[in-house]
Amino acid sequence: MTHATDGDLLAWIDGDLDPPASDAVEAHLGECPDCRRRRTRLEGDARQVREWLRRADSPAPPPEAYARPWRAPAPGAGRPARHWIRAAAAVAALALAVGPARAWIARSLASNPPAPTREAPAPPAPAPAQAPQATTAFRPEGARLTVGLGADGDAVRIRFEASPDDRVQLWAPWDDVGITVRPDRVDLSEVAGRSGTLRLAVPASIRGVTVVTPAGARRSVAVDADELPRTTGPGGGPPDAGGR
Amino acid sequence: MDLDDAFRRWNVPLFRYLARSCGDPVLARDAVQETFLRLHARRDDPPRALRPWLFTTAMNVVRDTRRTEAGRADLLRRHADGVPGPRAEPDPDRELERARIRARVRGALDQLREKERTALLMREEGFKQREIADALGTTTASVGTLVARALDKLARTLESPHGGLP
Ligand SMILES: [Zn+2]
Repeated sequence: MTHATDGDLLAWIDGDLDPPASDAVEAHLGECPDCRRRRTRLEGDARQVREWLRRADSPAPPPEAYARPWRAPAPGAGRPARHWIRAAAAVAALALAVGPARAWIARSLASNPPAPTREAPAPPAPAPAQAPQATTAFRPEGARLTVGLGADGDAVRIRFEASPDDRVQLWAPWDDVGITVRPDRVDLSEVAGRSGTLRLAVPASIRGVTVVTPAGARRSVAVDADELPRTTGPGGGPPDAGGR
Repeated sequence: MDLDDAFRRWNVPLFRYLARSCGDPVLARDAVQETFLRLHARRDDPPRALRPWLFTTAMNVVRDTRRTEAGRADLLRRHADGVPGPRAEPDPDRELERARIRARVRGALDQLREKERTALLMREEGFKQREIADALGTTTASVGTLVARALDKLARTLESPHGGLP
């Protein structure tokens, strides 16, 4: 055979050749000092590069950093907190609505926001809207919203850009967190250290949903249009709707 | 297809590959998330070859996000020395050293052409030349050339005393 190509040598190093091809490369290496030198060099480069890459790797996020809707219990399963929310007039979205999205993830701008200055006046309330925060906004178009909370957010606000009488249903996987329902939003408190999936069923008439989490909280937001029992808009929720 | 199984098996390699490829761990994490949601959305019609599908889809997500959020991605990258996680580096000297290594490797990877970088990083994840060729839309023979050239460039850059740093 003529000289082995770089591709042949790499494939041989990686065990990526079928036996006849591998034997041919090996036979050639036995008789060709040039190719032996190139092989040694390739192996050395590959080893060195692999070591550099490993040293520079960012730590992988833990599984809890991801929303995993495939693990979520079916709506109504377990002992979820369930609320009907009658939305009031439209509220200003905190961030530009992005969408429509079938499956869309919030860009996690929250990761390293600027820290608040010490001189700033203390916020009047601990609500997430007052703290350094990250927002995620989208047009749900009747989709189910899945919010996977990371371990270090302790308050979450979900605002709706909605018409009066729009109805939103919320399932939370915990029954011992603080949940405050307002006409245009729902606030969850004491969610620090929890991970889980919040789910909302919203009518297609809702123009936007904004999720506000404290800056630095790991969270991801996903919209999954599948499986969603669409709510039927004003007045027409499922019969088992719990009121509040 | 067991989605949770697929997630457990591939989320870390996928994240590693994407973070190396784009240099932005936050974007990489989001792209991993998006990729698994897309897999979830088509769970009744799963891809025939899961791993190539995952990697190709995730890379497309990264590319699309970059295209629509170019400015934002730049902003993110500047802050993105790591996805916030439970393991903060307690030793500032070590953290500094890590940041230096990361910048150096990043600089070296950024000098590669995109195809070289992709071929090299896919090889690191154990893809065969045939699979890399499919992903790049090129021939098996040219994959070998791409990887060899990438290795040569990287090794030279990283060996040199100022390697990878501007
Ligand atoms: Zn030879």
